[in-house]
Amino acid sequence: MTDHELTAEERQALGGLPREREPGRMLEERTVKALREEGLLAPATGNAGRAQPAAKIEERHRPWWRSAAAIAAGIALFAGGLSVGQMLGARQTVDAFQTVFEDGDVLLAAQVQRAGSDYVAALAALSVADGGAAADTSQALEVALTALWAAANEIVRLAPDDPVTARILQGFEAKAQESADYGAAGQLLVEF
Amino acid sequence: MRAQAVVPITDQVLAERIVGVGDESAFRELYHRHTPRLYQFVLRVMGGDELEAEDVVQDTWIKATRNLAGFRWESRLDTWLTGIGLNLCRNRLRTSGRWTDLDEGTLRRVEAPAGESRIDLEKAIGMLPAGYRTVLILHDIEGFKHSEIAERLGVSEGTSKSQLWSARRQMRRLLGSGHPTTGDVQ
Repeated sequence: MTDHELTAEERQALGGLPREREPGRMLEERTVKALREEGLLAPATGNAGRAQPAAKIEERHRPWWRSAAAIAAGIALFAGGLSVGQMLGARQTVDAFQTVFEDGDVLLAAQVQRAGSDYVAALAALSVADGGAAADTSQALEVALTALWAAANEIVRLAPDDPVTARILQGFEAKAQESADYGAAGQLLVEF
Repeated sequence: MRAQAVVPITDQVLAERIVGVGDESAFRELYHRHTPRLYQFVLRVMGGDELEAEDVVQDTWIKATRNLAGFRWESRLDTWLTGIGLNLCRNRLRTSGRWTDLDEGTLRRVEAPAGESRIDLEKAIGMLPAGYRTVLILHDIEGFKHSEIAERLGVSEGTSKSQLWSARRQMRRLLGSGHPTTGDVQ
């Protein structure tokens, strides 16, 4: 063996480097938006990316955290009213919504606003609740965060360049990167 | 729980939907299948700059989608995407003065940051000059042969080999006296 060649140790180390890595969630939406603008993808509709047959296939390839988040978000919806209301507090997000929901969709925007108010009110009630078990609080916090994450993912579809949503998703992504044990985290979300 | 029947939809079928009707969900499916690998590759070639790597990945998808109708499916889609991504990386590195033509044969030395006697493998790769780094990634991580690297980078096989040896030598220097271990891997 010459020093031009890799040692077994070096080969193992290089072979052990990760081959895949998830980019930021914003990238997908940015790319889709750019492709639409070039006319390479069909213009967005109210349910862009979901109604077509291939969407069902996409569901099966979802990473665990997307599926887990969807489940948790569904539970949150059932329990107390899932909402993106908290997000509407940010001015730029409001602007983004106003752009998307023009005239005929005012009712839909109002519905979102109402659900958002319920979401915030439920969290406020939780924070002042007396004698609540720590486990319950932790569970509710998990649901609240998951709902926020799910909401941010919906908003980014509507407004891929919204900086507030970008910051929120970057925060979630940073947290996910820190957690090496994806399986354990997934279990936490699905358990309750 | 009932087992879910998985209907395999090939990349080619998805691509035909994109070309035919601009099917967004078909694009998203292809994106989810291939982006993690493409992103990791581009991120390494760009020396670990996440923002630049995301820009390159976006441009790769745009360029690929533009040319999807002409793709003849003689190679795998991910191989084609990697090729596009590699060219875009090189263009970007060249435009910003970070790419030296490999045939120039200049041996560039890099030093570990002051105060760091030993750095991890991923960081060492990121610190290599772009040309060395690219050849090392293609050969030692992605498993390309010298003939394939030479074709992709437009250089001779001899140049590819000499660049790889230089890259390995520099990498060893950056890693210090010890050999990299899996504990060094991020």
